[in-house]
Amino acid sequence: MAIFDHKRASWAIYALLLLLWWLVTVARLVDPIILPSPFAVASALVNLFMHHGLLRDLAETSGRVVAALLIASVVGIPVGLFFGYQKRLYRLVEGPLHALRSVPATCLFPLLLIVIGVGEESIITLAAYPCLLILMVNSASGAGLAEPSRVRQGRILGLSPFQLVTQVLFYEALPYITAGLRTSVSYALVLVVAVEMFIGVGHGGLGRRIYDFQSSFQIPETYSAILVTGALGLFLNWLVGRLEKRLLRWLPQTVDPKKRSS
Amino acid sequence: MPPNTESAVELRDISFAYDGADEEVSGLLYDRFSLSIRRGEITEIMGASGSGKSTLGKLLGGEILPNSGSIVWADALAADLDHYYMDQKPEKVFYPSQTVRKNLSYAPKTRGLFNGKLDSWVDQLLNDFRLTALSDRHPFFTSGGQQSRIALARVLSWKPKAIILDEYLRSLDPNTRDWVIRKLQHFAAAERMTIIAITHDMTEALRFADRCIIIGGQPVKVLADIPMHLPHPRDEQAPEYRAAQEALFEAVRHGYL
Repeated sequence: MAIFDHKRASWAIYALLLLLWWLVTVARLVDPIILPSPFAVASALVNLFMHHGLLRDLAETSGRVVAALLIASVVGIPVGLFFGYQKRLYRLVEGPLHALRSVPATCLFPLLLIVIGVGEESIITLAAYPCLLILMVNSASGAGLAEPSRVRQGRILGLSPFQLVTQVLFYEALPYITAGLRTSVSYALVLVVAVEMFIGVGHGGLGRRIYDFQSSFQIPETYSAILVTGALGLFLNWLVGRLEKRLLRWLPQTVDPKKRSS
Repeated sequence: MPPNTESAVELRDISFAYDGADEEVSGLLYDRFSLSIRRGEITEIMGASGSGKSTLGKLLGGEILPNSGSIVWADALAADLDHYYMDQKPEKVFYPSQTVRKNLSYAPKTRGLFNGKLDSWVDQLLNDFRLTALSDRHPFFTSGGQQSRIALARVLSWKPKAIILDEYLRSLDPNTRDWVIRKLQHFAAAERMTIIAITHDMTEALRFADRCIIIGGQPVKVLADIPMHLPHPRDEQAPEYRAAQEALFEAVRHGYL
């Protein structure tokens, strides 16, 4: 019987923040153009979902984020693991890869517009790009940090290079891959939303809606869309956390991935 | 016991120094060192701390290579899989992402051994090493002693012809060590497996070994080579046992251990 329940306490803090928000608006401490009341935002939220298709924007933004992550994983992880297997090759490309990773993805956006054009593909490509590099580098360095004795055992058991990569190196790199996935989710959401603000494709997506609402001074609606985007971020992080827990159920959280091969 | 002259492995004139060791000043750790280890025997290699016994284990296991000279395994034991080196760190042997059962079935399955009888072989290993209750767990979720048993059972799963145990038995609690030693002796006898164990524990040597080699010095030399061909379990009152024990005490008196 814990007197201080951690979960309850964190809910209480949310409630307190809401209350604070409401008090600030009631007391007219801030212009409602800058901060509307929580009730105005809540009613705008319901209205947007019921009558203005915000659900579709949510679905579009989520779809783009998921597509970017899938492309990044399907390409980045196998290529990264291959580099982890071919360490000499990796040493050659490691420098350029890190250099590429240092270029903010947003810088490439104008280029992508020329190469790919204004469209769904540009949004997904831009979001997938840094995620792919992160997953590739994490897979490669994770595989590179594999316990040498286990890799050696795999070799003497006669595993083919493909088996060695999929049955040994993949698991050795998995803690690093899931860490990369965590970072990638945040990147992907940030970039999708940012690019949606620049270009409206089809219906738009959450980024587009936030931008449009703000431009037409629909402030409660702006806040609603921001809240929905934040909730999407929370949900995606939770999902990756679940996935990580499932994939790494064999690795106690007390075992530092680096120490596990000491 | 008929004289056993068939060798499992021969070290021929090996020289070795660790990288960075200044050979001009400190000389080689091993300088034209030769040793023959007989097949099917349990050979204990003993020596004081820093005597180079672990280096010898790693050389035998192929973990490190000699600067010159050769390590020649008999034809029947020459394949990579035939001789395996393990130390006190069980996580270097097992695959943490596999369940205990998978850890024991993975190697023989990969090699296509025990056709159709793999399940019963794995059951037997689980039973022999008292791991049956843990078969669906992952190794990192078992105790340290259990992890050591998982590692040894995994190595035995493909029936290597020789194993090199570098201070391995020390990682087991005394109670477990007793029956693991019996299992190993049984394995050595039934499969004619060669066991090379590195230790500085005299009681382990007396209980376990058919032959005890004490090394030391710089460069390393064989300081004593004590035969211990006594029946198991050992009769501590037997004169042969007393003689072997006395030989080990003698080594201690000389400061070899």
